[in-house]
Amino acid sequence: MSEDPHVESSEADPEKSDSIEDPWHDERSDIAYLIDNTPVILLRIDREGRVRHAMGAGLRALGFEPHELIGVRAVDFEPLAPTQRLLARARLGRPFDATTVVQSRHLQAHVRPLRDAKGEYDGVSLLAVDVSGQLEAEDALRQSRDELRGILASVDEGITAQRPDGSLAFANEAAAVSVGVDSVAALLRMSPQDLWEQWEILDANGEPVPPERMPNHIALTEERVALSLLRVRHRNARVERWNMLRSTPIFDATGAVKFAINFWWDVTAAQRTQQLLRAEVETLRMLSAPRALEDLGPLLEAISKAVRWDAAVMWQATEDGALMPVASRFPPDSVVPPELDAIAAQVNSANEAVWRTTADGQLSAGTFRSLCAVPLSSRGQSRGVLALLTRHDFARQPEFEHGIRHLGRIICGVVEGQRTELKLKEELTARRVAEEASIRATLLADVSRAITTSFHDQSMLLEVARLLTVRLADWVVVDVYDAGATVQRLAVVHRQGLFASDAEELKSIPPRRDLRTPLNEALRSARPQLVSAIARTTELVPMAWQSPSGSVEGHARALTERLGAASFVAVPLVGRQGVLGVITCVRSRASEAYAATDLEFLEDIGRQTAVGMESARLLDSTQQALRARDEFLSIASHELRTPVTSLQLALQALERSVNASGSYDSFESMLVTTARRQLSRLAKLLADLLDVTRIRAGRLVLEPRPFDLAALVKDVAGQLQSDYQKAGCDLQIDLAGVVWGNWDPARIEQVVVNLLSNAAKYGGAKPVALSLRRVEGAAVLTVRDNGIGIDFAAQASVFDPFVRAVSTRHYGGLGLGLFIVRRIVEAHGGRIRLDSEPGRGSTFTVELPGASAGPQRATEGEI
Amino acid sequence: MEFSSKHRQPILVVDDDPDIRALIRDLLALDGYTVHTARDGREALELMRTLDPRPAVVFLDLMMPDMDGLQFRASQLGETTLAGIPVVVMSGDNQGRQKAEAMHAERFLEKPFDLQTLNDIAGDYSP
Repeated sequence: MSEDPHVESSEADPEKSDSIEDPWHDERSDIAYLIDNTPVILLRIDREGRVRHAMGAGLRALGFEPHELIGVRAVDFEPLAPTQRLLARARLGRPFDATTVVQSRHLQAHVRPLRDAKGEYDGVSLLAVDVSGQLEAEDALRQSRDELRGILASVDEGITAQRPDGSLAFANEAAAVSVGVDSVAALLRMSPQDLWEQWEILDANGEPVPPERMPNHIALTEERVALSLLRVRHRNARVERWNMLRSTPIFDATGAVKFAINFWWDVTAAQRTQQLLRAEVETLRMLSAPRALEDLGPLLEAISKAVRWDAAVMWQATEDGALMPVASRFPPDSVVPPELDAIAAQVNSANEAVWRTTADGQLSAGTFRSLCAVPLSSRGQSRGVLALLTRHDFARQPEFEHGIRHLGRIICGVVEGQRTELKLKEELTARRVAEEASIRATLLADVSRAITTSFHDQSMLLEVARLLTVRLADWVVVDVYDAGATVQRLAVVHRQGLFASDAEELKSIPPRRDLRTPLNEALRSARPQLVSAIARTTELVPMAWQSPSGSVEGHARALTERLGAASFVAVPLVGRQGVLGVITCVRSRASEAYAATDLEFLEDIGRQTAVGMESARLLDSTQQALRARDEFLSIASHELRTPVTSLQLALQALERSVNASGSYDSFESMLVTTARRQLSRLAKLLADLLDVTRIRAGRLVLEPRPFDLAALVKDVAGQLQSDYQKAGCDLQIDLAGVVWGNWDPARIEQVVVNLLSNAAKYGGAKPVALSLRRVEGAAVLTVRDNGIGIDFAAQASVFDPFVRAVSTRHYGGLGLGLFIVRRIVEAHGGRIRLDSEPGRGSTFTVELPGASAGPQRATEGEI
Repeated sequence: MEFSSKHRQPILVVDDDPDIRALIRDLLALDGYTVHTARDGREALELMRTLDPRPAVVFLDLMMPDMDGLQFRASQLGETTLAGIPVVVMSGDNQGRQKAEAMHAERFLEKPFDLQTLNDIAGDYSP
C-alpha cells in the first residue's frame, strides 16, 4: 500500500474522482491533509456497510493505517464492532451520537446518515473524537472534591467559608460543634449577629475583641491573611477556649473577594500547657534567686500572670501544723472572699485541691468568681497551700487544676530543697566556724600552755611564734624591745624547715625604726596593723625589712620574696606595762590573705603572749629575789651560829664558874640565867631559820629509828611544863598506851614542841588538851586549845613560811614553826590538819603512818 | 699556853674564829685537857705532824679560809701517820651533817652546841 493517502482520499467519491481536471482538486487535498492530521477518526461507510473512506490521526493513534480499512465491512472491523448496533440504527436514516470504548480509549462518535442526489440513503459518515483525557480530568476533579469534603468534615479544626456579607457558605462539622449548634446546616442558617451574641471573644490579655478586629473581618475587608489568638468564651458554657483564628481571602475571576476561609484551631490545651510551663519556669527561675524565700510575693505575681488569673495567695504550714499566710498578690481594691483561710486549711489538711465558684454558691461574691486552691505537697504531705483567683466564672478545669498542683509540688520541692540547702549551708558554715574556732581554741590553748610552762620570756615568745606558723601564718617575724629600749629582731620562724636558712638570714637584718612602717605603727599605737594585700615586692619595704644600706635592703627583699609574702599582720605584744614588741604574721598565698576578722584573735594572742612574757619576767625576778633571800637566810643563819656558839659556850662556862663559887642566888647567877634563857631562844630561832633554808633547798634529811611516840610526848610535856605554868594554861594529856613508829625522833619532837608551844602561846590561859591514839595503823596526835583561834581567811596559809595569823606586835616568832612542822610531818608521809574557829580555839591534828603497838613491827614501818 | 694535863693525848681544835678556838681550848683545859688550836687546815696539818703524842681527837670547823675542813680531812686521810686520828666536825652549815658523813668524820657537832656536849665528846676520845 504505497499510494499516497491524499490520492486515496481523493477517490473517496467515485462519482467525482474521474475527472483529473477537477477544479476543487487542490482544495480537497488540503482538506484531506488537514483531516488526516487532526486527532479524529473520520469514516465514510457505504450503504453496503463497507468503508469507502478512512481518514484522521485518531485512526493511527488506535494503530490503524487508514488505507487498510478501505473496502473492509464495518461489521467485520473489530474496533467498530461495538458500534454495529448504532450503525444499524444509522441505516434507518437517523443521526446519532454515542460514546464507545475502543482499546480503553473513550471515543465520542457522531454518526450522520448520508443521502445521494436522489435523496436515497447512501451510507453514513462517522466522526469520532478521543475524549479519554477530558473524562479522566473530570473524574479526578470529582474525586478530589469528594476527598476534600471528607477531609474538611473529619478535621478537628473548624473551617468556614464566609461570604463578604458575613453569611457562611461552608462550614464543617467541627465548626458546628465549636459554635454549639447541632449540624452544619443549622450553622449555615445562622446570621453573624446570632453568632456574636452567643460568644464572648477576648484577646490573650482578656480584653474584648471588637468585630472589626476579627481576622475574618480583616480578610474580607482588607483582603489579606489575618491571624489572632483569641479567648473564646461561650456565654452559657462557663468555659473558655483558646483559639487561633486564621482567615484567608479567596478572590473570584474579577479579583474581588469572594470568600474568607476561616480556620479555627483550638489551642486551649497547648495554651494551658504553655502557660503552666511558663509558670513553672518562672517559679524555678525566681526561687533559684538568692533570698527568694524571703519574699514570695513576686513569685505569686509571676504565677498568676503566667496562667492569666487575677490573684494568688500562699500559706505555709508551721511545725505544729498551723497554716500561716506567707505572701499574697491581689489587684488593688479587691474584695477578698472571707473564707479564704478556711478553704486553705481544708486544702492543707485534706491534701486535696479545691475548685470553687460564686456561680455554684461555694465562693462568697466579691471581686473573684472562681478559686483554685492546691496543696503544696511534698512526699505525700501538704506543707502549705497555693490559691489562685480569677474574676471569671470558670467551671472546674481538671487539667488546669492538675497543672497548678504540679506547680505547688515544684514550689514545695524548691522551698524544701532550698531550706535543706540553707540548713546544710548553715551547718557547713557552723562547722567551718566551729572548725575555725576549734583551731583557734587549740592554738590559744597551746599558746597558753607555752606561756604557762615557759619561765623564760624569749623561749616563750619563740614557742608562740612556732605555734602561730602551725595554723595561722606561713612565717612569723618576732621583734622585741631589749633592756635598752631598742627593737631587736629576735627570730624569723618559717613553717617549713626548707626556708630555715633564708629565715635565719632575714633575722640578721634589723628593722628600720625611722620610717612609718606597719611594725613601727603597731609598736606606737599598740594596735594590730593589717596589710591584706601586698601587690608588688617593692611594697615589702614597709614591712620594715628596709635597711639603711641599699644592698642589704635588696637582699632582704629577695629573701622576703623567696619566703613568700601576700599579706601580713603586725601584732603588737601589749602587756600591762605597754608594748613589749611585735609579732609579724605573714601569709604567702594571696588566696589565704589575712582579713579584718583575723585581727581580734591575733591581737588576743599578742596580748596573752605579752602578759605571759611579763609574768615570766616577773617570775624570773621574783625567783631571783627568792634565791637571794634563801641564800641570805642560809648564810645569815650560818654566820649567826658562830657567835652564838661562842656566846653559849662562854655563858655556860660563866654559869659553871658562878655555880662553882656557890653563889646560886647571887645577882650574877640571876643575870647568867636570864642570858642563858635568851640565848636558847636565839638558838631556837636560828635553828628554825636553818630548818627553813634546808626545807626550801630540799635538804631536810630524816634519821628515822623506832621509838615510842607516847613516851616522847610525855617527855616534851615535862620540858614545857614551866612554859605552861607561865602561860597559865593547864595541859591535859590523854595517852592510850604506846605508839611505836619508825620516825625521826628529833624532828617529831620538834613537831610536838611546836604544837604545844603554840597552844600555850595562843591558848588564852585556857586548858590545852593533847591526845595520842593509834588509828588504823597511824599515829593520830591532836592538840586542842581554847584560845583566840585563827581567822578563816588565814587558815589556808597558816602552814606557809613567814606567815603569822596574829599580829607581830603581840606575839613573837618568825612565823616558821607551822611551816617546819608541816614539812616534817609530810616528809614522814603524814599530814597535818587545822580546825579552828576564831575566838573558840584551834585544833591541830597530825597523822603519822606506820604506827604500831611495839618496836619490832614498827621497825618494819616505812618512812 | 700549857695547862696541867691529866690526859695523856692532846686535843686539836681547828676553827678560823679566834673566840671559838680560845673558848674551847680554855673550857677543855678546865677539865685537864691539853688543847692545841689551829686557824685553818694547813696550820692544823703542820701542827699535827709535829705533835707527839698525836692528838686524841680533832674538833674541825668546815668553813675556813686557805684550807677548809674538807681539804684538811682529805690531806689527813692521805697521811698514814695522821689518818687514824678521829675527827669531830662542828658546823652551822645547812648540810653539815651530810658533809661530816661524806668525809668519814667520827661525829657531827652542830653549832651552837652545849658545853656539856663538848665535854662529853672530849671525854669519849680522851678518857
